[in-house]
Amino acid sequence: MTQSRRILAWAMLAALAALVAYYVFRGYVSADMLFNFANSFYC
Amino acid sequence: MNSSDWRTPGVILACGSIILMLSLGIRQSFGLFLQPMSGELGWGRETFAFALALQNLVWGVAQPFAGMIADKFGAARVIVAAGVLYMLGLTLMAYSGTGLAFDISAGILVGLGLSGSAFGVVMGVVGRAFPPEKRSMALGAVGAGGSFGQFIMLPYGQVLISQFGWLNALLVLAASSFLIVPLASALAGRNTAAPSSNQSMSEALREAAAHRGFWYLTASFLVCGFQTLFIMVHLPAYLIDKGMTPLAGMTALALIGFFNIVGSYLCGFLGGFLSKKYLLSWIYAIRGVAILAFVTLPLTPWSTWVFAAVIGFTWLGTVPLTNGLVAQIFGVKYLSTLFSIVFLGHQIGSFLGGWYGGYMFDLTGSYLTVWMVAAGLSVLAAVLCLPIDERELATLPVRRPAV
Repeated sequence: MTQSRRILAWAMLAALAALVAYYVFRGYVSADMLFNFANSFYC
Repeated sequence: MNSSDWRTPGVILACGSIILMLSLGIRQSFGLFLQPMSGELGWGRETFAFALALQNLVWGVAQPFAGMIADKFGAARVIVAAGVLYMLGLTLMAYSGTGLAFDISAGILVGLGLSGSAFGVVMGVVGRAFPPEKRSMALGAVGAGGSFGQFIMLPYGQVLISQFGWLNALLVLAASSFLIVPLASALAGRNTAAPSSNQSMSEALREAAAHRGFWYLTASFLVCGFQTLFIMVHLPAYLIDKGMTPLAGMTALALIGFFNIVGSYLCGFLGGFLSKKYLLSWIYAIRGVAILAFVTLPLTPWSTWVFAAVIGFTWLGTVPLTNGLVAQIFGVKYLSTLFSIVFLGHQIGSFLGGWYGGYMFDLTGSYLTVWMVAAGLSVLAAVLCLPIDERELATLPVRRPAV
């Protein structure tokens, strides 16, 4: 794999990771999760 | 081409990461079921909490045995059995009408499933698949897989409950856990580490028991378990008591999950070329400072988020370092067994952290004492890591053959 392809692969992987992290964060602060937080505990 | 050629270190790492992601991640979502299950089945919190406390204990107690079987007969068989038990436990959870049935399913069956599909067994195989110079980074990467599962499974579980109801959500999680079974085939193969070593398991256990560092590691890992479970179980209640909004609290939990991924990998990576015992000592020291600052400084959303980020960063970073240190000192032949014993210390700490937090809150109406104990234990753990002799036992003069 050439250097430029390696950089491209890492950039795509980082973008995918950022996208997943964004949606997971949104999931954490969804209304259902906030309701659960206020009424529950974690195990 | 040999039929086992496809089991390259990269494949073992990838499949091990997904197994950890599933086993640790699914368990992480159990707290979400408290509200709907307790409400529908008429249970108190105690019924739910007891089953999960039991799960932690069963996980800890069964893991050394799972590790021994894995080291002796191969990890894949243990992981397959664990995957089946995990799936069975989740399925029975969905149909548990009584507290006893819930104790058996969520407590015993899932606990047994975790003992065979989580850190000890999986990391043992990964540790053996990589040469010493790459081992710590690989353990960090597989640990980051588990952390990633913990991060994503919470909102995933919530989506399932919201869309399909808690019963069907548990069945979907049961089906998800069954993926562990086919993935185990990548970790198949007899333990062929150190073929020149004729050391038996009982000799390895005696050797570890006689090594002070083994007990220092176990004790420091107990502190890790105490702190993480106390924070996980009681931080939401602490934040609500202090008037924080659910949004600020949930953001804090998300930050713990996110930085846990980064920290797990980075700690493993750093352990590849820095002293693991000093890194562990730093992690415990940083936790202690973070806890002290968190409870003594004025509580704001930002102070909570900074605390969450720091704690998240150090959350599972201890795992690849502790596992790596066991491998470095005692070799990888009985890595699953020896690390599982150290992990038993972690689970005892977890039990104590969860229980003591609730006990002290009921007694004093405040978590302050427990925060201070957690900070004090950090100092103790940081100090305990320092005298550990990191040298590989096999290279010490006493183990060399006479010439």
